[in-house]
Amino acid sequence: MTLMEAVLALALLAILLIFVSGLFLRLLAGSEKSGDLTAGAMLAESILQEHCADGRFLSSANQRRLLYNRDGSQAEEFLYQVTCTRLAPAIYYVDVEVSWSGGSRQGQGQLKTRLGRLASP
Amino acid sequence: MSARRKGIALVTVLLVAAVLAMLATAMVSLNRNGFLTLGQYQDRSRTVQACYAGLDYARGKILQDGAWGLTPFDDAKVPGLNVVQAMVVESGAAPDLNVVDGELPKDGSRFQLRIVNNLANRYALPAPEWSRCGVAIPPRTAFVAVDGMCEGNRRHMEVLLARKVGVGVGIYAGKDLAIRLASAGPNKVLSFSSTRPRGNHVNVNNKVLLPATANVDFGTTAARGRLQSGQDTLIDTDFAFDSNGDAGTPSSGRSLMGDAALAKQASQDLKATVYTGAPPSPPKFQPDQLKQASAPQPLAPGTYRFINHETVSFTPEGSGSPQLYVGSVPVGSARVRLGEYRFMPEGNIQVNGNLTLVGEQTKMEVSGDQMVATETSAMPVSLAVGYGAKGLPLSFDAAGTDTATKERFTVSGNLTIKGDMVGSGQLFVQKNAQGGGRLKVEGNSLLSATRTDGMAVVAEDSVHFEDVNSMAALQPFAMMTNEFDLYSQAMQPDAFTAKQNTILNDWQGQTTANIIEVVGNDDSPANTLRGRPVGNYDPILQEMAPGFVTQAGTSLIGTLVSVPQGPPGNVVDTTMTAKDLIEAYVQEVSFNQGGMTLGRHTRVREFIKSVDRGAPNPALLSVWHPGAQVAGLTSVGLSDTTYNSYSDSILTMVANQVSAYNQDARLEGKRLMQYMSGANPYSNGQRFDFIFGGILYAQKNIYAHLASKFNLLGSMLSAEGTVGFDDLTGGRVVYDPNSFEEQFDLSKAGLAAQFFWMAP
Repeated sequence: MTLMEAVLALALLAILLIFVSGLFLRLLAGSEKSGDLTAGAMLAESILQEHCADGRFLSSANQRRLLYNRDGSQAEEFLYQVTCTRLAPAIYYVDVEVSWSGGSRQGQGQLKTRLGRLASP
Repeated sequence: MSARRKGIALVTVLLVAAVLAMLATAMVSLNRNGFLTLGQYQDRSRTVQACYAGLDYARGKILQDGAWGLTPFDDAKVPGLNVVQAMVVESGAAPDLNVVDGELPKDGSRFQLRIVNNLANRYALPAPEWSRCGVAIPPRTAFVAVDGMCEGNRRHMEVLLARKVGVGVGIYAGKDLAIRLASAGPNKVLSFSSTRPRGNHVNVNNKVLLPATANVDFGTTAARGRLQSGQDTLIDTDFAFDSNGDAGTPSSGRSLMGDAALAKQASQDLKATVYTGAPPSPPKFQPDQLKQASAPQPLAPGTYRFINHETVSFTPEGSGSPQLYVGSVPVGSARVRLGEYRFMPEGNIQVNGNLTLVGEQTKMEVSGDQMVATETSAMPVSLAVGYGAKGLPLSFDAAGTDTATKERFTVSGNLTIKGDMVGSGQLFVQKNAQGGGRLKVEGNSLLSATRTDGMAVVAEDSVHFEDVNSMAALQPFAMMTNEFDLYSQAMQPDAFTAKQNTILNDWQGQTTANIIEVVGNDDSPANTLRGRPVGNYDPILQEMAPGFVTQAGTSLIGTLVSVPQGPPGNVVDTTMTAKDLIEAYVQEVSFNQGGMTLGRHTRVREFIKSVDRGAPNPALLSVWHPGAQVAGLTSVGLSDTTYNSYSDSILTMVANQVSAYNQDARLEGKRLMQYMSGANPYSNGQRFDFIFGGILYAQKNIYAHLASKFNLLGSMLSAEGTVGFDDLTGGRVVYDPNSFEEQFDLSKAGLAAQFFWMAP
């Protein structure tokens, strides 16, 4: 093993580790986002069902719901807003938007999801 | 370092790199799969939401228009919605080709729906060919099938929508339910059942006071009974009602609360699950959920007294001069029609003050060659709400469609009816400054052919039922017990066309035109009920008036009537006995007019009752020209009658009689033809039963003191008070939402899923 070889090997290893570390960090962030998105989508579906079943069709903003999503000992805050638009007599469009971690984070992009449908009393 | 070790560092690093690459690939793949799964979950969620969107679009359209889907949408693709959130197009050249296509651009999803609207019908429809679950469509439901689509995902949903009437029990009492029998005994006296799987329920907020468990039975249908009380349920009770209809403290009785063994035994005996100490949720019924009426017309308060079948003497409340009305009482742009002792408000009529409806009959006897008045006695009258011009329930005219309004009669004060209330309209008894809100009424006899069937009664105070007047047997619509056999014979399936048989089997809610197609417009022998021959008439006549003495003891031989003699256009009055008139009529129609028919029998029956009431009506029997249209019988005080007079009355009587049999069939859980093919279930002992069909709601007590049995087909609710049955000899409570659902305004009651089926 020559010095040259050792330097080359170490350099390659360093590059590899940096690349893999970066990749793993991104995968970790992606996994976090996927988990949060799943929770957010389920929350949006649940809130949509609640509002459609309620039948009052009242819009609301900055509502919060705490979910134990990633950490069983620490709840994560999800914010949601519901927009109910009357399209015709007895027909509404209910739109639920759920966001978390401020709605976006560097490297994770948009941290929000939405779901909507027609609804009637 | 040997030459063999040359390059090992690089190789090692490359190996590590390879392992890390594989690990990273696996991790990336896992991560990607996570996102793909999430994406699929979201797409599936949007697909399901698209199904719900389609369902709710249909629901919203039906809430606005109960007949939505009954007519072709339009082949020109009518935009139901065209906004940024949703684009919906309705198309179809025929109701069974109607399709709705919807797109939700924000969600990237679409839906397509089809509908069978059976909300206004009282009978089930078969599943449409395009249904995948193949479930029959029950009466008063709408069947909606929706396909939801999103990014290659597809879901199919089939739903039955029904009105949310907020009433799910036969009886609800906000206070107590108290039942006191006329006499103790081991037999079943009171039964509860339901036409729905869930609904054989009695909910009571406080106490339940029952007689012996052997007297009460919830097990007449497969629907399991439930008796739920917020406090205690006592059996074998002995108590008395006070004048308000509240139950006093029982002097004896056994408590089921806290006695598990006794409660278990009682549950078995009653065939119901008994809950004690479990306050039930009150029904969500609100009177404002009922359909509205047109603008009200004011009717003067006071006492309206029938002095014959179509004449009323009015005494105003407070000051004012009495008035006499014949045929009708004008009420603004509306009127109250008077006929056959029925007080028939049309449209929406409101009385601001107390109202009393009574009737009387004056006996006439022969004195020399004249008829003179002898004694006057009370005659029960009917408050008839929801009848059309021919005297048939308006619900017939509205069959197949969901009417926006209902006929309503409102009394802002107290309402007293010395008789019965009948029909399918709405009766509101409201409070006013002086109190009011109390309804006091006698019941209608089981042998009355006019019934409360689909009626909604709302009283803001209490409702009090009294014994049915024995004179009810002489009411124009009173049936005879043996007439069941005549109708049974007349309604043989092979005697009618296929369409007539279908109409008979699905009698409730048929259109007036269909009713007339079966009943007929005249009494001549024909392929109609009125025209059906009745065979040898002597025994029938003998049963109605043995020895020519009526049931009320009036001699037909000793009653003189003034009748027109001669052909039409040559009318000369002549006087003869009631017996001679009947015999002449029977002879004429038997030998010259094709024979006695059911319609002609109804005329004889009504003529005999008119004799019994002291006001013989010979115009019912047209001796020389039955059915001939001739104007003018002014000589007997009937200016607008003809030889074929009372044809609509006979039509109404026969049609209502079939309706009464149909209601009794429903009480037995049978179809009409099935019921009519059985043994005659009527006897004179049942003549004074009390019957109510529809929804009865009182803010305070509902108290019934009945000399005989009662039958309830529908629901009875007391919001804050006691439901009490005093002196009871028998009764049936059949929870049947079909009998009152039509009263509810769809847009206020809403629609709920009665059946839900989803598949990929």
